Amino acid sequence: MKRFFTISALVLIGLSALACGPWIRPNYYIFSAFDRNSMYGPFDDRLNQFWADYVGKDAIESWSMDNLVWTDLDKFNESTNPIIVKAIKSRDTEMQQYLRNLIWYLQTVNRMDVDNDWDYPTKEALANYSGDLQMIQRYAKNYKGTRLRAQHSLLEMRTLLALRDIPGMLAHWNNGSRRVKGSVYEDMERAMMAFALLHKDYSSDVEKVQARSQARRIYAEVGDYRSLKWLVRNMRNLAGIQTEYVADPNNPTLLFLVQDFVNNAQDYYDTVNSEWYDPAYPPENIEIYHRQTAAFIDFAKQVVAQGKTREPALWQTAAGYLTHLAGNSKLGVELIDKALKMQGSPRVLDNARACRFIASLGMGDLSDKALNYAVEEIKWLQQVAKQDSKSLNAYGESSNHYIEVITVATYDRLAPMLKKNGMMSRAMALQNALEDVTFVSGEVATSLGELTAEETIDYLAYMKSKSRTDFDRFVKSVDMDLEINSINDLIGTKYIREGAFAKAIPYLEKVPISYLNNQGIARYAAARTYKKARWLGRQVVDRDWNDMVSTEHAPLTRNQKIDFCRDVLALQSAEPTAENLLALATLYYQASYKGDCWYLPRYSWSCYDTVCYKNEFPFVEKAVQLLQQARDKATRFETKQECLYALSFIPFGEPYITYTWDENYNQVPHYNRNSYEYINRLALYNFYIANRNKVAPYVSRCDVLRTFHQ
Amino acid sequence: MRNRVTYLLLVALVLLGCSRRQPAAVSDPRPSVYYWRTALQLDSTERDFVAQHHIGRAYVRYFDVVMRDGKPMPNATLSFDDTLPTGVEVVPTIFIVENCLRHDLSGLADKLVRRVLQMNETRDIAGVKQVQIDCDWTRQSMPACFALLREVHDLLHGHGMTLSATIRLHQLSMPAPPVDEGVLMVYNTGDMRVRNGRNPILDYRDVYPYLSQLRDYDLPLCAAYPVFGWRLLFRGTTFKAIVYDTPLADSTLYRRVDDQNYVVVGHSTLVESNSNATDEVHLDPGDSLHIVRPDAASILRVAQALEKERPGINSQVVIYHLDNQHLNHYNDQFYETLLHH
Repeated sequence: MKRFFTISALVLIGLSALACGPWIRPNYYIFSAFDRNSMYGPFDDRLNQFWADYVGKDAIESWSMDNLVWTDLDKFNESTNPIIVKAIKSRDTEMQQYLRNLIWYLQTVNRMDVDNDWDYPTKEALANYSGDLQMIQRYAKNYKGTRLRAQHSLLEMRTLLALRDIPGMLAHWNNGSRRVKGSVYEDMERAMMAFALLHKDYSSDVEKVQARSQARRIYAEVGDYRSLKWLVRNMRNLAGIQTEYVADPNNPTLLFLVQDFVNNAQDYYDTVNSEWYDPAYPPENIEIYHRQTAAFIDFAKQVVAQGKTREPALWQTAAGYLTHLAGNSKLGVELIDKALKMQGSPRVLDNARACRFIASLGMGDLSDKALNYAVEEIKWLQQVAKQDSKSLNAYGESSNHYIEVITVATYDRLAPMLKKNGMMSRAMALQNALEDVTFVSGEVATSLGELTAEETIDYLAYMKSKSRTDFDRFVKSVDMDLEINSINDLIGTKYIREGAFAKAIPYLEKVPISYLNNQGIARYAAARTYKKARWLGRQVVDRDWNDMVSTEHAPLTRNQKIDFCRDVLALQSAEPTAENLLALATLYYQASYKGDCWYLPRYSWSCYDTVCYKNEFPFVEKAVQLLQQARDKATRFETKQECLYALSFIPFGEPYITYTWDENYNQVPHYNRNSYEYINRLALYNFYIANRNKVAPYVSRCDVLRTFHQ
Repeated sequence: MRNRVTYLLLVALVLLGCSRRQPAAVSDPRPSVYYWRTALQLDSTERDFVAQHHIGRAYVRYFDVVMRDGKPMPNATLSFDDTLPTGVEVVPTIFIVENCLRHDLSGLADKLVRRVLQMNETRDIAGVKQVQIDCDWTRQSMPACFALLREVHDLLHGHGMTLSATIRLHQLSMPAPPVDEGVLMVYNTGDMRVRNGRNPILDYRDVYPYLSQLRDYDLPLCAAYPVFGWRLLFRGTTFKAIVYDTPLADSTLYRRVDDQNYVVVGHSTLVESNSNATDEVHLDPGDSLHIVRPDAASILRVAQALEKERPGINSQVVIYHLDNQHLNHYNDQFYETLLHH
């Protein structure tokens, strides 16, 4: 189970990182004493491995196994399924017969699924299905070979299950002569045996309770955690854990229950500590949760002290990690340090080490020693992750627990801490170094987008500098995936964003036009000009969806960013006439997130954008100030008119009208006559009244002004 | 003179009242229940209830019709793990998800009727005299729904059976469907997503506006009343889900505020499964669980109001629904009053 802190989705393209939006990443669980992947298809890997071995490959596509059910038995010999092909080519008649019966069984069960079709089975059909299953059962029962005896034993159990023959299932299990101990087939049979135990008729409640306990134990032992989760749904708490412990201090269900408890606690604490946490949550519940956590920690310590468990490391780690989650990372680390010296399975001890690492990051230590330790642990986690490489999938995602721990350590703990403490370059380099390892995409681009121009320059210098510590050596071992043109364009653009137009020019001058032509924003730059005032009309590029997905545009011949910087610098140093001030305001507003030329200081745009970058130049605010100055200075009618219109056009400050609803859901308007919007619209309106015959059509035809008048 | 006019007016009113047709009740009324689970399996409480209250008819949900792969398909078909007590007439009931009505329905009536008949035969359900269709049709989907019902009606009559339909309160303002009789669903009257002090399962204030349409509704009617509760999950004032199966006694997940209210204190993910949906619900700390259940007095008050507006509507009362989790929230006297008045 993975939970997401945020559900906002933003599409990032290349360097078009949006600092304004949150980023999605699951809240990975850290405590993992059993592989959570086994919650889903606990037997699939081992079954698949059997068929892979049979076919003679390292692995086979899972569809080969899944698709057996769709095989036409009348054309069995013509099948292209690699499993069947192998059985036929190698003249393995024993396997062919098994496969035919297995497919027959799968198809019969599929036909018994009454939701598949409008044709509900007749009595005869049901009898036929039962007859078929009984024949398959007899075939499986009468198998005399040895090579596939475990498979046939399982097939018999499956037919009995499909027939809902509970006594038959129990008898078959108790006979058990053909099971192969430790095989996946035996485990699958055991899981079915648990089902039979749960559905058997019992004469007393005591027997029923005992059977449920036994079924829980079986599900835990065979790793069928999904079934176990259902069966222990009323025991997923301290009381349930205590019940299972009292019954047997080494009850296999405890592995699931302890992990489940700690993971739930992580969900809880991460939620209440997250920046998106709803403060409306009643605080007394936090205290309740703290008390429950404390009670569990006490119990876990008692379990360790009693010495009855064979895995004290599991309990000690749980106590330590919960202590960390509850806010005391130092004590948590101390407790887990003890766990590392206790007895436990390799997975439990690996879990202890991973938990210790994450808990240690809660102490906020960013000394060289602490950072070198972090690198050591990350390298170890990479090694452990390789042992479970099959859980790395082809879609750039990983369900590998240890990779998830690296992801949390890097992107949720270390990098934010480094950034918070002014070590931007180290944070960037760390994220960059582990981007390919963790399959986290876009995070480096986002972080790079968040840097100021100077921080970007520092980062580049850091990457080229001589390494002083193990941490530095590690994070600099992976090159930045940025070519020189990107870097220059990035720094120049950041300088524009920060209003340092003169500093931007030397960087931008190094960027060839051919590079700019391949940027996503080129189509906007090719079609728009910053010299045309936004308030006098919108320069439409994306008219429809076809436009938006199109990559075609007129070729750029100039770097518009350089022209913009030069024009701004010229106007900044020119005599502050009303006309010059208006021209500069036009440029600023067009370059703002509200303008058509947002691509000058940014790489992407969203209607939710605001001033959101560090040191961002307040283009809108500056434009308004310039327009106000220009309006006051203007002597020319056209200049004054445009200033008044622009000030009225720009959405800035409080709106002059807001609405509420009365008890009958009628809209009730509320006017704010002190608002910037009201004052500017009134000024434009008065100007219009006074010059009704002279004003430009963009004023006389303005519907907003007409509405305002009404 | 004034007294004379008043007298004449009164006489005219009485005569008018007498000339109005008495609204039709359903034929062969019996105390009834809905059975709305995916597996037919009655425990001893439910069997006792059927026996004690002389339940003579059960509207049993056979399957749903949902859109799958662009076609209306059966879903959540009832698993016949048990039989109903002898003497209880089964009315196979099919729930059709409304969006099916916006697709091609050709051949659906035939498939539906054939499936019901086959289920009866395969599962030895004898003595079926009626089939019921449950669908929340709207004014937009009404033509398609009525066309389907007409076809089903004709097919069933060919097999000597009748057709009934559920009628929701909002449907009372529209023409009656082409079926033999209807069961007025007197539950789910409010909006469960809104916490406004009204019981979303049944509140007289929500029923009241529909009462005036009841008398002239042109279909023999009986009424179904709620015997169930909901656990409604809210985040603040925002409705999240109905929660069906979760242990409220689990103190790592819930803190009891009072009998009707719990606060979620631990995360959990529930796989929600009922006859119409399978989904996951995430419970987060700070969410609240609000338990709603109409009280007996409210149900009886509404039943009285309906009877007053449409005498005979309670000649057959259908309990929604037969489920031991809910039955024991009401006492025998309530059931006697409601079912046998």
